[in-house]
Amino acid sequence: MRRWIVLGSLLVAAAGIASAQSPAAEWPQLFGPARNATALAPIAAGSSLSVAWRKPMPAGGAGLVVKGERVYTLGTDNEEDVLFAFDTATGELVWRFPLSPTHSDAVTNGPSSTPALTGGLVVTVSSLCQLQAIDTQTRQVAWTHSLGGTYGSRFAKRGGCGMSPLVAGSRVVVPTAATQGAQLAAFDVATGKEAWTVTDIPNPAGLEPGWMDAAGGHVLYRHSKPAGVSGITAVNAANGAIVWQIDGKDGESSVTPVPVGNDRVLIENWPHVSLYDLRSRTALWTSREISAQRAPAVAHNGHIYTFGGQSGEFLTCVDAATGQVKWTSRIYRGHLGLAGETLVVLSESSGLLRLVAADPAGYRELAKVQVLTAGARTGTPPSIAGGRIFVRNLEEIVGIRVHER
Amino acid sequence: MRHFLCAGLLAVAALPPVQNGGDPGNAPAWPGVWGPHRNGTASTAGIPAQPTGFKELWRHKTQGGYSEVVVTGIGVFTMEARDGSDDVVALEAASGRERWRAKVGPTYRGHDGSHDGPIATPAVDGTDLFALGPHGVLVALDAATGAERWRHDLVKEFGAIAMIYGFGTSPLIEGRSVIVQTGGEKGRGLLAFDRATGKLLWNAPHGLRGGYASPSIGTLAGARQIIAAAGDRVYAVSPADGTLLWSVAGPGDGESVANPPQLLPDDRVLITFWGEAVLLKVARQGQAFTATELWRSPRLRAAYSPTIYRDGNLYGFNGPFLTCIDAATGDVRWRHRMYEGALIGLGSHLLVLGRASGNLHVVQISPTAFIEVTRAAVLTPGATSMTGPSVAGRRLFVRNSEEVVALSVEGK
Repeated sequence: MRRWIVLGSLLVAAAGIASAQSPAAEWPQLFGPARNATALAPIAAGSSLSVAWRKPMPAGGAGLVVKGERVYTLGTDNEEDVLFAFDTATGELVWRFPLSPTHSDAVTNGPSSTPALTGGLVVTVSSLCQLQAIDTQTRQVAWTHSLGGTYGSRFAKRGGCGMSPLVAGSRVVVPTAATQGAQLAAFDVATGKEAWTVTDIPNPAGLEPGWMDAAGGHVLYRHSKPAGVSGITAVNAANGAIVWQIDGKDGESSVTPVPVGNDRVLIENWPHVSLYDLRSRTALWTSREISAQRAPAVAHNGHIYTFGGQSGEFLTCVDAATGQVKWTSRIYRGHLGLAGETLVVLSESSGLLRLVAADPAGYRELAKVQVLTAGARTGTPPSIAGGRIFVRNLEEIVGIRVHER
Repeated sequence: MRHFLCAGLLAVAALPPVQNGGDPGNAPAWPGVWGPHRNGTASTAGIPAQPTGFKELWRHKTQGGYSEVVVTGIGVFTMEARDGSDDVVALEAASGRERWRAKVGPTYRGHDGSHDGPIATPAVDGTDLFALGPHGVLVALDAATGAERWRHDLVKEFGAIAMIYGFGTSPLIEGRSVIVQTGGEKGRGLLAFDRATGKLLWNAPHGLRGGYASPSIGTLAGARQIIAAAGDRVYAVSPADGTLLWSVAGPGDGESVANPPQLLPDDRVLITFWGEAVLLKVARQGQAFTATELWRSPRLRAAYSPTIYRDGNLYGFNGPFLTCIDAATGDVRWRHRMYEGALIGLGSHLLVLGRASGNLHVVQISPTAFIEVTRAAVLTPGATSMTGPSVAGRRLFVRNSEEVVALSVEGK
């Protein structure tokens, strides 16, 4: 997958608004193509933003996935979880597909699982814990599994499922949140057959596994050992074997693990963050200047960008080699994405979308636009694809156009 | 999700009793958290019957803190972080100019999603001001000058146990005493100090687990009593000597209990916390008091905001929803998603301040529907506000972790 990403980036690096069919017009899963919140195509420093369209949206915390002319997400009409397909250019609803009745505990805020686009399918997890792959052309169910009935997910009884499938080559990997048995399960995208499961992760946690592009691909998943102290387990994406485990020192979190290259991994716990060297399994540094927040960090060119301060209100740049803070700016809590040398920052509560230079020299705001209603809190990160940025909250979905000078 | 919970747990609490004083226009004061009647209901004296908007009078920058703004005839008071210490600060009501500040202790550093600074709100009566810092230091100050009269370290002297985010309970003034709520299995529960000297008058160790809530006071079943919501039980004591009057288990765990008990007509007590609300009925037979549960509902989960009672209905938050509930049954009449915030009752309106939007909403009180009259952007969006507006005459005072803003209510 990594080669494909690099190739795609090269192809579109000089483009303005990418064509609908280019690889850059993809944001196929939560946190993007490589699960690291990084877009395929850059957003140039001189770009401006404008709201292209805005549509009412049924409640849901699900993220937005994009391929070509379609952006997909989940919502509830209070009775059913529904997969929605919108036109990326106009926001018009193109089709909708009912997935399952909405879990009674998820009626208020809707389904929270971000679907995954792979192999012509959109792979969804409904709040009632039904894993379903829908063919985007025929709109038929290609295959399905019950994470509650077959895998014993505890969220089937209470809370509702919200795990976000991870694309790993020809498979999708899904946390089950089962109290015993399979904790992670991989399914062949084409057939829906179970490829492997993992059963011995100590106290697994989190619904949003990460990805490390090493040795064929590692699924990074949170564990807790001892209880209440979060670490990371790496699982071989090819066979489900556990490759390595690093236990944290203290603090816990279920934030998606973030690799820094192929030899280091960031463990973002409350109330501090550590960077671990995978060869020595030791912490290179630990910082209390940054802490686990809702949004995972973004690693770029030897630096880490994330929300810091114990309140999580300070966008912070940290030197990945030393853990030293390069700069902070109090722009309040939010979600991060990266497009080339530009950070895309969506406020959690103020409704502001910012472009910020991913530059260790200092905080530099490149553009800012009000995209969501102030106060209408969003737990959904921005999705960046095809010269557009897509955001949503519990009430609306918004398409933003990126204009390059 | 976690940081919403954590930030939300940083509650303000406590409700001083009806106290004297008034703002420069002799209007009723806002002498402590949740106003003069400790129920979030403000006097309408001087307020236009039909609010149409707000005019900014002044803005005071601060470095942190969740404390509510207190207003009396002497001035405007709150607690804030400033240059490494947690202070009580007095401002001029008309200009916002700082009159004095008094250090309570070093700044409580935010962690796990919380901000730096104090949580609790001072209680003021006449020239007596009492404030509890997040490290557990209770200070008595002269409200006119800021001069310190006495202080106690509740941890060192009385075995009080800090909650995860520090001490968030606000002092309660009653007669000659000032009362603070503490927790911990080896703690001493409610502590009543002599206002003038700081001498311990009595203590009532009935709740084993702590919380962020503050005690309330009022008359139930014919007897004046202090009601406390601890982490493991709700109980009432006599304000004279701390004698236990009644006690019931619950309502939740200590970290989720942050709101003071609210007294409703007909000897009822409303307990709201993170997960649900419980309505109790207090009765008396001879010298014996009982408290029985009338209803329990997850449809009211007031997170650090008063719930307003009006004409048999309750108006409060259920997570992100402003909700109207039939007080007799707990049934929902309507709900409207306006995201987390804090509200007060002002005449025929609710004033709702968003927790992070910076918006102040005027909502018509109606049991049939949500009706927004107007709204205004009054605070920096994104910054966290854990308190509702404070009202004194025609003036409103709002704050977040960065600023205190004074507004006048416009209208006819």
